[in-house]
Amino acid sequence: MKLRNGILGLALGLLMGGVSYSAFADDASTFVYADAGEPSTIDPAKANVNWEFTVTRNIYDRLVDFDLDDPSKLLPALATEWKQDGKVWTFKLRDGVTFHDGTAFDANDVKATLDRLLKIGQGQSYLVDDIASVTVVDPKTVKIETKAPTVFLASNLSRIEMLSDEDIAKHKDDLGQAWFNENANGTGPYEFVSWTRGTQIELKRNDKWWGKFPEKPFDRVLDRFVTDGANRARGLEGGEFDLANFVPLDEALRIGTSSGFHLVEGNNLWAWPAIYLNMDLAPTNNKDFREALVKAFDYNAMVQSFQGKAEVGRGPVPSWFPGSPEKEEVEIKTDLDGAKAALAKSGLANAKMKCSVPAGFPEFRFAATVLQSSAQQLGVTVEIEEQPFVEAITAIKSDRSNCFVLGNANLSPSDATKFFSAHYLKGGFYNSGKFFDQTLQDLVAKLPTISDAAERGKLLKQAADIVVNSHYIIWTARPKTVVPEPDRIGGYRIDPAEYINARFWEMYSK
Amino acid sequence: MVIAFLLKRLVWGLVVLIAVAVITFFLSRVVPADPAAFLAGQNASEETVQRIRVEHGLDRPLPEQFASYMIGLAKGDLGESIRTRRSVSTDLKQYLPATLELLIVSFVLYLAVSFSLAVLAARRPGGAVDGAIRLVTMVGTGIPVFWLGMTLQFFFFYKLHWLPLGARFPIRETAPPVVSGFLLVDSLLAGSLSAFLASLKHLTLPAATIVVNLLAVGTRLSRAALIQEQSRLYVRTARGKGLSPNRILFKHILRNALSPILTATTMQFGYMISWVILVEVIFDWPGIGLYAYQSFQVFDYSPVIALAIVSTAGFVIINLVMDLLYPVIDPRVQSVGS
Amino acid sequence: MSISTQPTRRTIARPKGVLLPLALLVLVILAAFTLLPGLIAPHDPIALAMADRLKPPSLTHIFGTDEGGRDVFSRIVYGTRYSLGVAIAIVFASALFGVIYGAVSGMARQGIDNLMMRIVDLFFGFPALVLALAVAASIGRGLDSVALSLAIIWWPGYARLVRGEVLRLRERPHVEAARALGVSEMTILRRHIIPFVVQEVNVRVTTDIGYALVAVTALSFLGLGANSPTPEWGLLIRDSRPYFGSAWWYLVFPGTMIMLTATAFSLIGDALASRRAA
Repeated sequence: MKLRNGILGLALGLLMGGVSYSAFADDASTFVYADAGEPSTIDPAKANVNWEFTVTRNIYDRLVDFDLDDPSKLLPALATEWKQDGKVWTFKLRDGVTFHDGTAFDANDVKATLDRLLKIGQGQSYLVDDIASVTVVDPKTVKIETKAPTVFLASNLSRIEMLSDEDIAKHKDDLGQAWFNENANGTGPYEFVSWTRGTQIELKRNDKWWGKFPEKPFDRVLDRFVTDGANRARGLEGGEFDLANFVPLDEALRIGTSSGFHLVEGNNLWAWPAIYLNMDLAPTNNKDFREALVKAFDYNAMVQSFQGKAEVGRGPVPSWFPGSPEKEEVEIKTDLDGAKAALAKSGLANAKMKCSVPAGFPEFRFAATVLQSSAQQLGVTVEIEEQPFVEAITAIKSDRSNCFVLGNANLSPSDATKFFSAHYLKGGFYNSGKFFDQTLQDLVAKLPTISDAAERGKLLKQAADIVVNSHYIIWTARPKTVVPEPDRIGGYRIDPAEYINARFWEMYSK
Repeated sequence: MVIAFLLKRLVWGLVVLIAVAVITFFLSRVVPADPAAFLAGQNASEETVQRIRVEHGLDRPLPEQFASYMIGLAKGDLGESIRTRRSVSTDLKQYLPATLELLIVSFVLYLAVSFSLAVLAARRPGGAVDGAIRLVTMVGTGIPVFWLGMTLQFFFFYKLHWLPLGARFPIRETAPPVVSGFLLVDSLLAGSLSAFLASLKHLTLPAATIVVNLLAVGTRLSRAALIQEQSRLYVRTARGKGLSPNRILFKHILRNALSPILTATTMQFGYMISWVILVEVIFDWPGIGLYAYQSFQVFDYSPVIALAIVSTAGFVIINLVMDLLYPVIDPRVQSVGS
Repeated sequence: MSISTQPTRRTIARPKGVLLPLALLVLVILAAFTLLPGLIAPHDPIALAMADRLKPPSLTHIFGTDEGGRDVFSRIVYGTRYSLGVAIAIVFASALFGVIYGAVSGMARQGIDNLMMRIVDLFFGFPALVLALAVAASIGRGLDSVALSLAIIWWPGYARLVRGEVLRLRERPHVEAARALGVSEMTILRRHIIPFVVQEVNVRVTTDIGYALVAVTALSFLGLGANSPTPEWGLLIRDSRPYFGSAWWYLVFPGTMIMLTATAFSLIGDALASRRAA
């Protein structure tokens, strides 16, 4: 009976359907982006990874933007003017901006957004956790007071997306967490259309946006979830995708130099891949032993594995970063004799150690392989275990592993202290090897309060030196970011403060 | 008789499901990782992580977590996915049709291809064709499914541009409105033949990957059954009565050969589910395999347990249906109770 | 996970011509790879040689090199003992346990037999990969956890096969006669049942090694098995994935090796079956 109904339905459908539905839309103005994963949430207060930023960045705006070519230069966005006076920052807001649902943007939105962000305490809230209070002066003026004076507030706000206070009020019970997880209403260049779980998020262009689109922008954007790097490369090359996130480097270089493609290159990586050594677990809790590893490491092998598109870092802060001490730092290079001497001093010959590597990044695995092969020359055995990220970082944090490989950028365009806090200060999420140094703690706390840039540079060098001299980290190599872009499109630029992100509003078809 | 049998099987099926739930629950909790850390996200403070732990009951002792999970399960609640931040039942509703569609299409294709090959092979047992078919199907089973998938992608997408790389529907086009979740059905309901063909095209490589790997067993069994049936008395009788060879083949032989193949297939079910996970990962097929695999990467337990329960339930149901069907398919079997 | 492919005696065709010798040749080569990798492999399978990174097949590197400049052929040779070794261990362990379990079940009273077979059923529907994911996560990733989880789902196939054989053999006239003469159940089992069962199991074991190999490499491919830089075949395929467009050889040869090995074992299993049938 059921079967017959089904067949009947099918037949009816065949007869009557086809009126409202057509699969084949005009796709000339559709942009397909192959993202490395599916967002767990699209709530800007919680977004944490590249494939979540892809969505939030394009739907929402921030108070200020920054110049991708010179991250120390801030540009107006939702705020047109700002100034710091000790602990108080004042922002003048842009006129005539509306959210996608039509409500107007004003100072109340800023206050509600920041209050909510800090209360939830996730996502990018760490960038602005020095905010003490937010006050609405008038609809177009907002005052932000910080716990201590900080020169970096505006710059860090360039990562904080503004929500509508009406939305927040409407979903008050849980701070709007359920609603914002899968809905979005911003002021940004693209509007949220739909989220097909497991497949894609669809956006459409907001033609009422206050900013300026290039000629021939894309009206429809499909953010596809393609978890496998080889598939992203293959699909980009085969024309299924217009741009892809995290394309394996060898494939990116090959595709980018093949006909119909060009390469977009940029400096941006802070620590990629960096090997963190556990300060609490033998044998890596021994400083001489760590020094032996740092000196034995074959940096050239890493640079070669990046096909020469990499340099060896001299510390945590890359040279392009505003105020970077990199140029004055001592070069780090392989020194086997030095390594052997350090190992002898440690008295830990023939030691064994375990390394946890987050799965999914060939560069990380390779860095661990190089460590293994370098350590072997000292007679030290390194056992590698590739694990999902959470499992790997838990292993080192709970002292079941001696080392951990991590690649990271500093999301703040000009504030190095946020990177230091997360990576080298007590309790920092990425401080997986539990490094602790009181002088460094004090330096990092003091740095944002200093208004003189030269003075800040001096402190930054001191901070970097403390980390370098502790031999806590092996900075294996700092590759360039390389993105293959099809010749049929243009506008892609690399965000220096993030690995790969797509600003869809800058993309256009040729 | 039949009802008593059914009841017995159902009760046993329930026992099996509970056992699977218990086993997977404890296996998954031994994992030394903290899902709350994932949920809170990088850079979240320790207080925030602790708050989330409490919110999701992850701070409670294991027996307590287990009890509340089982109570929920009894009510049909499969728990909450930490990764997707939705209930697992909602997620399954979304992902299950994609997997079922792939499985059903693969299964039909599998039966058709292995039958045809068996018919060819059984024509002259021991002949060249027979030998070639056996070798080819054997090689097919020996190919690692993930490797086969990648190789097929390479040739049919990358080199030849004949078939898509992955996913269920052409990216730039709009999928038909969801009614059943089966794209083949939905595109027909929407009256779009082109959408139907497009979905079929997307199914081709994943289904072919699964089928090639299973062929050896199906072909071997059908061939054996065919040869045996051919020599049976009734076939000789039928031939004597002047029925055409094709008629004999389809009417008598296929019918009798079907039951061993179906039996073998039910035995292959666990195998197929495992292969489906691999195939879904390779082809970005948004089904429960990919869903559970990705969830596992972040220690999101509930979807993994749910997958184990769902696939075991599928196995139990298929077995039950098979037992009920045998008398229909194979006239020699009297009734299920005996 | 393994499937009963019990063919009827009369319908088995014997592999003909060059296939069987070829299969045996593959087996000999595999044995050499396993026992004497040092003599066969021209290069060190582990040491990095960055100057030779991702070089296509040539006379020095017949299967090309990988992202560390290591010789893919040498890695495959050294990997044999891991991939095939684990596969063989899985099959032997499950055969041993399955035979005992199946024999006990077949000889036991009906109630116990029923219960034991119900327990076996439990394992058939359980998705192998889910179990492997869970085991790998709880006892750590490695070939040992792969072996454990695959053995757990592999033995029921043997248990069922053996029980069926035992039940069949028990009804044989000469066994009935022995029983009538007062020969003990243990002796019957030892003299009249086990020898036949073992022959049957031999065929199955041979074929299963190939399947187990495929399963082991599948788990390694998903990142649940061997750890870098072990040259396990499935891991080679996993590691090769990001380089496929630039280095086809890195993916193609390990896969071909798995395919050849599995097919060789299937062919030999077939030959054993047909010899038994003859």
